[in-house]
Amino acid sequence: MRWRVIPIEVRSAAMNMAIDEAISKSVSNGANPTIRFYKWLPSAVSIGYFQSLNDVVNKKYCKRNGVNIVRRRTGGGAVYHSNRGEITYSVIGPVDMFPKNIIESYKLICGWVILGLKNLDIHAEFQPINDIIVKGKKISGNAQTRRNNILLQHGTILYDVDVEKMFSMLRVPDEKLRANLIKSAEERVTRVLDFKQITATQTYEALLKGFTQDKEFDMGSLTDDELINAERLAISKYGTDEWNCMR
Amino acid sequence: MKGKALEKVPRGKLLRVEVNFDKKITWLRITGDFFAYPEDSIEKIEDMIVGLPVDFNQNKFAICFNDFIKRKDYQLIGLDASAIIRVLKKAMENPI
Repeated sequence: MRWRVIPIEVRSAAMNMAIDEAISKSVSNGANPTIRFYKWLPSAVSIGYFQSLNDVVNKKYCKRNGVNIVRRRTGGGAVYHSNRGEITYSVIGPVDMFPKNIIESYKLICGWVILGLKNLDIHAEFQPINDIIVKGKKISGNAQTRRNNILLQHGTILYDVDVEKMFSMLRVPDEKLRANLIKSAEERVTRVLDFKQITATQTYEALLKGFTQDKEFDMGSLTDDELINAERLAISKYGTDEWNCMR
Repeated sequence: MKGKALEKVPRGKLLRVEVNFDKKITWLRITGDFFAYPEDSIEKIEDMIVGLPVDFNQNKFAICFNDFIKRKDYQLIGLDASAIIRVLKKAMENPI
């Protein structure tokens, strides 16, 4: 199967999630499986499909700082997508291209991230359920959904995370524990810059090489239909309280 | 009455249960950073629990619950039936 690879682009939170859904639809209609890379502008918090927005996001802080909030189609936790601090990818293809076992399919796709990091001499490993770690610390979180026989997995690779800022966006179960949580997150989270002084562009290029290794692919772009569908979804779904506050 | 509880499921994810109840469970919301396939399985599980008497037998219900998950071929990752029951009971023990 030949892949379409969409080079890194910068979009709003609603549009990024809408594009993933629009591509999922076109792949279910026969388009080639797709790998895309993207960043978020403005910076954003995405929450997992099953999370309660009010429980996990500090909405006032996000609004004051111009940070978008969006609910993903995938499960998992809340993620702060700093415009300069991380790179996001999506892999979208028919489910029969991937292992039926969910953890195995995470392992396969996370393996492409690991290959990308290896190109930077960063030796990462998959940690079930959905994380990638380097020297015991998380460098990438990943989330997957399977709908209409299409698998969508997206994930982030931390390039230059600011843990304290990240926690300012998120609500924690017990405010008294916030300081401990930040300290513990700083101990549990790492980033590309901790291992190599390179640019975000160089990091993206290494990831692109990792994702495309041993694959037949064409560099491509969104079709007009996908773009129109995504713009519609960004307005009618991902930009609405009905979707973002549904839990 | 209303109740809310959360738990970091051992070797799993964060699970929150919010519940309204009188003699029976009248409303329920299961949230957290877990994964469930298909995604609407969580709503179906919520629907299944609503209507249960508050003093339901935990062990007996766990058997029905696991059977329901198996029959529907739901895949829950980062949580399981016993964690949902445990947090649900905890939420009802501490009404707001």
